[in-house]
Amino acid sequence: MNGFSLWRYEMRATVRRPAPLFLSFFIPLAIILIAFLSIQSFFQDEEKQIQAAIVDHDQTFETKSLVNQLSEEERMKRALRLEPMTTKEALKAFERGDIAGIMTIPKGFTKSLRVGENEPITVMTNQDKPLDSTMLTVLLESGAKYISASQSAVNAVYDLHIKQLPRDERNQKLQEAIVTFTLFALDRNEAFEEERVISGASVGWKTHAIIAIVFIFIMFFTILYQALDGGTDSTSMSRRWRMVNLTFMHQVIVKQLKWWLVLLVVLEVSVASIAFMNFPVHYSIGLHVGLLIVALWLSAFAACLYGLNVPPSVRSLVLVSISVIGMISAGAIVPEIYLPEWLYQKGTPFALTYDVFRIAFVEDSYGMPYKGLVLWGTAFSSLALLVGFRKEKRDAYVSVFTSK
Amino acid sequence: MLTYLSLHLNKWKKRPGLALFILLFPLLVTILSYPFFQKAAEETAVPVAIVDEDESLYSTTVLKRVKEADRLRVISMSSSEAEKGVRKGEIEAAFIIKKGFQDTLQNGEIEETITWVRSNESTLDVFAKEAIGAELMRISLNAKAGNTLEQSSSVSFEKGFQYADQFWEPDPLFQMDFKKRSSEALAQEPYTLASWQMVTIELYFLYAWVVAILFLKTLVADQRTGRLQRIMITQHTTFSYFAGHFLVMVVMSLGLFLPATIALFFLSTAPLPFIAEWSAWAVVVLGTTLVITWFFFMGLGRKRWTVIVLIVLALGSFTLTAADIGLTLAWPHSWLVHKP
Repeated sequence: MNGFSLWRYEMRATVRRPAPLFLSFFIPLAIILIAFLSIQSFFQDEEKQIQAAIVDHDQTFETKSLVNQLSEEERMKRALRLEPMTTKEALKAFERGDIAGIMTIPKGFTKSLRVGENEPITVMTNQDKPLDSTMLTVLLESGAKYISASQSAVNAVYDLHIKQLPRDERNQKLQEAIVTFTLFALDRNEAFEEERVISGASVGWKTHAIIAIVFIFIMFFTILYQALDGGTDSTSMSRRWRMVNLTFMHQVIVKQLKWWLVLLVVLEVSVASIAFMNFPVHYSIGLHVGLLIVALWLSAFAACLYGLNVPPSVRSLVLVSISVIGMISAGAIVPEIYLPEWLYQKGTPFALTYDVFRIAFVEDSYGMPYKGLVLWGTAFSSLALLVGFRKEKRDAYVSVFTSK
Repeated sequence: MLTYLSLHLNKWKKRPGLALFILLFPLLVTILSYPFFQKAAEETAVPVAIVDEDESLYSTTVLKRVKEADRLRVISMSSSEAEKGVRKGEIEAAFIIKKGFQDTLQNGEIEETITWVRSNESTLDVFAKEAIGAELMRISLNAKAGNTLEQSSSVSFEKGFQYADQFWEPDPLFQMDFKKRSSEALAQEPYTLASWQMVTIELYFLYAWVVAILFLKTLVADQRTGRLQRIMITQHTTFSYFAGHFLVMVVMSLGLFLPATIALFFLSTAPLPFIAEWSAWAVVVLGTTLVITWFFFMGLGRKRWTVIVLIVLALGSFTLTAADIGLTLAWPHSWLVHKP
């Protein structure tokens, strides 16, 4: 009966002072919305063609075919626009921030290429356009490998055959070789026969992004809410509770129960919001049970730190540190398949929570993570009780054993 | 003024563990987590499977060279295992080098020599395809040169092949020298921070700022409990009280931000002039931010709600700057990032 009074007191405090709940919900929501807008604008920008200048000081058939090879390849053509310019024009455009980079072919480049000298072409990338300049670097590096392949073949044919031909035939044969090998290199995509398979268990980047957003939001909410709502009672208040046989241990239990309930509601609301935004959510009893257990371990984890009676600021910093590492190692930020083996830990409550979210979005989900999560939740709850009990045993006038 | 400084020092001395933890938290995070994040970033790679059905010299050479590529984790397996792996999402894609691969390449052809098995969710496998494509073209163009020479001269296929291949050693024939420049400074290569480093510094700035804002709660408490009135009665002025608190706030905030930021620069092996320049700029920005925060708090009557408003502003400053969606100029984090 007394325990119910404490519960009623906690819940009444939540209703009368809704600021912690309100702030814990809306601050992460606002941050996530801004991050979402940023990611959206990032992908919109990505669809634009990258503009770059090419300054050709050599102006030979080879350099023209080289530029052609770089800009005519299907993938390059979609992503990159190489505009021939003079040095002056290119520098002006660079200073104005109109282009992501300048590629300069030096005089005598063809001659050095012919004798096999590795004189590099200078590419100046614009640091003020980090995304564009990174894309430009990736595209040109990829193109450079194919050009090396065709140029090696041209050099071999020139050195071992064309060089020995009469002078009037030489130029024509060389141009023929360049065209043949360049066109051959441009057809490289024909080597691949694409075969699509249906991926039943794979999450995909879009779904992964949704899970990551929900996961980050929940963690952010938990950290903020336990900080704002996790103040300990004043000494006089604690003494009054003790008079009715309610110890600090009971307070830990009630706090955990309240946080469990609040977290469950927030989790259900988050998943429902995603369904409301027309993303396919597979509602099932399994999903609701999973969310219930996720709320259990998260509330138990926070209650455990609350039971240790550390200040809310330290609790929050500890939770932030553990959550960041936990989420990375669970593959919640970068998907697990890309992580090194030592980093991905599938037994952690963070990885198991990710699996629960998968149930919501992937029909063909492998394995049910309930057992592991229940174990983690029970372990944290027991630990929370134990630390609450130890504190009471140390501080209290009334022993927990003698109280009714 | 010194009285207030020692007062705070004594308060912190009562709970040294807590004070030290809050003060050293960013520095500890930097020193302890840097190797972890660096190793994790270095070893993060796209997992792909290569199935070698040809088991010829050409196919094993492609396999060996692709395994050395950066950012790819190449796993050799059977075609059924590979397809299963793609279906289960355990690997991004699978590349099956078909039987007859070497013969086709030796004939100067490449059409459909590799089956690229991918799912609808595969995205980053195009990088693996590029790497495999580059190695395939190296061999096939060497072979094509060998064929051309064999047909049009007395040079053998093998000699032509080897001659073309020698242009790849020690470095490929065609190379690009990438130089990073800023639109404002074309002449010199700037030392630049990676985006994750920039976000980390922004987080340290947020931490120092939020701790400074929370420190302002002591002023609210002093007013509520009547301590401020007592100071007014005994000293006839509150100037020293406020100046002392402002000083403590600035010193504490800089003490939180600077060591962690400098530690991050040192771990990233940034050059000394860069560290000095950045640190000086960060001190200016943080100092300005704290002055604005102080006057905002004082101007609005030192109320509890102003602390919450200031924390929301600090979070907004960080989020809007990191998100970079245009509304950035008014925020301290943006001043920090856009160093002139």
